[in-house]
Amino acid sequence: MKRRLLALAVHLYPRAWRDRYGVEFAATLEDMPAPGWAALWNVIQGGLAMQIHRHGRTVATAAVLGALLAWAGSFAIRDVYSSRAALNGKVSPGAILPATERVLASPRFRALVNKFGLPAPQLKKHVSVSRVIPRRHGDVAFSVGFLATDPAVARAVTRELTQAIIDESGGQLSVLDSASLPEMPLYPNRKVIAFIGLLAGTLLGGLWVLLRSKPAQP
Amino acid sequence: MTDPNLLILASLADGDKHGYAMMEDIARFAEVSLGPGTLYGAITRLEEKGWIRPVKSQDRRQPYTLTAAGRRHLASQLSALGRFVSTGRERLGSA
Repeated sequence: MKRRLLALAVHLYPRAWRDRYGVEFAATLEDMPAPGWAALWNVIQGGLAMQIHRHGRTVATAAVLGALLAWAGSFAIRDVYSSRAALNGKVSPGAILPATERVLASPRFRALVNKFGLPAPQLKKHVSVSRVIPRRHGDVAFSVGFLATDPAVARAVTRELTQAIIDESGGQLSVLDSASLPEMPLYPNRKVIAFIGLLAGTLLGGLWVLLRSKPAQP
Repeated sequence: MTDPNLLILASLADGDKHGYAMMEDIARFAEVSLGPGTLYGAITRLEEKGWIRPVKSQDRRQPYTLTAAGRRHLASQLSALGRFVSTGRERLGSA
C-alpha cells in the first residue's frame, strides 16, 4: 500500500526531473526495506520543493505580471463615488420605498438628470435606499445614497433627492445626516483587482509550466 | 550536523555510492536518517553545482562520485566546522 502511494507521490516531481532521476529514485525507494509514512511525507515534500525549485520563479513572475496588469487595467475603470444622507421622521416604514419611487418617476428627478447631464436610462440603479431602522418615539430612520463618477455630483444629487423625498413625505421626514462628500471611490477596489490578477497569473503561470513540460521519454 | 548537502559530500568522500547506500552510510556515521525526498533534492542541487556527478552503471541504482570542486568545497566546509568546534570547545572550557 505504502509502496503504491510512494510510486504515486513520485509523480509530484516535475516531469523533466523524473526523466532524469526517476529510474534511480524508484530503485532507491525499492531498496528501502520498510518505507513508512515519514518516507511518504518526505517524498511528497521533496516533490513540491522540486516543483518550486524548478518552476517557482516562472510562476512567481507570471503572478506578479498578472497583479501588475490587473492593477494597471483597473485605471480603465472610472472611479465611482457614493454619497449618503440619513433621514428620520414619523412615517410608516412601508411608505418610504413608494415615496422614493414616486420621486424617481417625477419631473423633478428628470430635471435633476438634465441638470447634471447624467445617463438617464441607468440612473435609478445609482440610487439606493437603506433598510428602515425603528427609533425612539415611533420615529424611523433610513439613508439614501447616490453613485456618481464625480464626488461633488454624487453629493449634490443625494442632497436634492433627500429634499425631494422630504417634500414627498409632506414634511414628516427631516435630515439626520446631510449628504456626505465622498473622499474615496467606492469602486473599483484596486487591491482586490490586483489580488485577482495575482491569482490569475499564478494559475496561468502554472498552466504554462505544465503545457511546456517535455513529454516523458518512452 | 544535519545539512544534507554536506552529509552526502562526506559520504561520497570515501568512495562512489548510490542513493540507498548513501542513506545507510549517513545513518551510520552521522546518525542522521535522510528521507528519500531530502536525499534526491540534495543530489539534484549538488549535481547542478558540479560537486558530484553520476558514474556509469549498468544497474538501475545510479552511483555518484565526488568531483574535484566538490572535494574542495567539502574540505573548506569541514575546515570552517573545525574552527567552529575548536572555538566552541575553548569557550566552554574557559566558562
